[in-house]
Amino acid sequence: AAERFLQRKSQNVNLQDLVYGRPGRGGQDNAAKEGEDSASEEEGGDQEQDDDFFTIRGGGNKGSKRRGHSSSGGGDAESEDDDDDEDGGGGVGGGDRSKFYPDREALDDWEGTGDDCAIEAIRNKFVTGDWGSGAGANGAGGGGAGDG
Amino acid sequence: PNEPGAAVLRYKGSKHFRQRVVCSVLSGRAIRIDDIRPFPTTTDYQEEVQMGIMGHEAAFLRLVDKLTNGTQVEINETGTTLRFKPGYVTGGRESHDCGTSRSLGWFIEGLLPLALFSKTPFNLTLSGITNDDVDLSVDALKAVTLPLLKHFGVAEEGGLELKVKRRGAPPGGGGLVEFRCPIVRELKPIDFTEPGLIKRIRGNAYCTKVSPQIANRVAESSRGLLNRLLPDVWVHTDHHAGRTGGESPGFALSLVAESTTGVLLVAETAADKGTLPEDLGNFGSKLILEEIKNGGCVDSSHQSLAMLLMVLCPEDVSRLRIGKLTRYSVTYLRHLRDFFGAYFRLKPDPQTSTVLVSCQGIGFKNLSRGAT
Repeated sequence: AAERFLQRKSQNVNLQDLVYGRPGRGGQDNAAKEGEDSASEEEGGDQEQDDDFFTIRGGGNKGSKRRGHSSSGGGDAESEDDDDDEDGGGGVGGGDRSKFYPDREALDDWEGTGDDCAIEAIRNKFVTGDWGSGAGANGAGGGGAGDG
Repeated sequence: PNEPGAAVLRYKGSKHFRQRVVCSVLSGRAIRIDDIRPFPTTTDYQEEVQMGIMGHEAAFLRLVDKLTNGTQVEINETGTTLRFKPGYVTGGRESHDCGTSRSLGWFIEGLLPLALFSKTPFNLTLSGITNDDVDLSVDALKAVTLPLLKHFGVAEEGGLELKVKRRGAPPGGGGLVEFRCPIVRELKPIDFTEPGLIKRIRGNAYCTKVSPQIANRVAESSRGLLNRLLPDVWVHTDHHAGRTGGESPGFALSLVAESTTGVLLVAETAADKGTLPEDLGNFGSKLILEEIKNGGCVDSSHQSLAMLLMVLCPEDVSRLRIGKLTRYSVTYLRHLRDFFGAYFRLKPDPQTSTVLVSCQGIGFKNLSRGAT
């Protein structure tokens, strides 16, 4: 349970900041976040902000934080990581693929059996699961609600 | 945001080529991409160096050029710089060879948003690879991507269709599909936040130029894990030989989980050299379980498309629940901001470990469509 709590807490980072940049970094970001209606005013500044953005992306603080987030989520986007290292080789992926493709190693152990195996954890997402269990369909994600 | 006079957006690198071109056409903003696979500064000359734009990117540009009017494309000699000034989407009947470096899914997924806002409906005959392990396959497009459009009010009167005439596995390709898409005046904002419960899983195991038994073995082994959770699992098998089988042997599996609220999640995998059918089926079933675990109302492969369409909605708020935000979606969000000035609100929901995304549409209208 403690582990799950930690996982949830780490997922609670502000996704908006991760995507659009942290509010402290520049006035423009702040303005943009506060009101969508100000979008037209910042049209001019847009360009500059972008350059800023693209130099930062890939390395440094922000990237690592994002990575930290995704790995704490457990077995997900890590394989999409071709973001940074792609330019030279130009592999097939080319970074331009929307298809989800997790690492084979990062997959949950779905073969497992027993009461707390991966399959039991998502049982309540199915119509065959336990409907009555409090949070129902929504709660099933946490895998907590089921009583077997 | 649709003023043609707006400044040229500049990008660097070969990443997200398709996103940028598509957003450029939709927003009417010209783009310039530099350093597309530039000559590497450090390299041992043993390995083959790929410079400039690649075959599929060129094919995509040619196809966009065919389907639009007034598009200007300039590429420098080495192919490392692209200047793209978008025109208007005219659509119509075209046929195009998409080559064999990326599958048809990559092309169709990119074109979908353009097709909706075209002057005349798209009626395309595309040839190339129908199923590979990199992009969405034609099966996934048919089973999940096109139905997703219906949430946005597309195709209530029909006309949305993807017909697979011939299968084509990599590397030879040789597949042939017909793609038809209706046009809309504007989209309908979505409120799609209730994932519901998974009630059935459907699948399609296809094989071409191999023994028909292979598809059966894939289908059989994919059911194993899933049947522990759900009795209603049905995997269709689809064997091709001869003329409809394309140029290369191959087989693949695509699984679709369907929920009580109409949510469709897809996961798929295709065979590599030497893959056992049993392993493929088993791996496919793990992938779909992974998607179900992630939750949300669209699977990870469709996050980006849904987000783009949310931005193109009328000036009303769209809400969507997704599982984990993928890397690809994050860059897509940034592109949507660059091109359309659209910001999303992302609210993690720790209870279900999903993310609620919402944004206000920019009031995008299909101006080129004739009055009806």
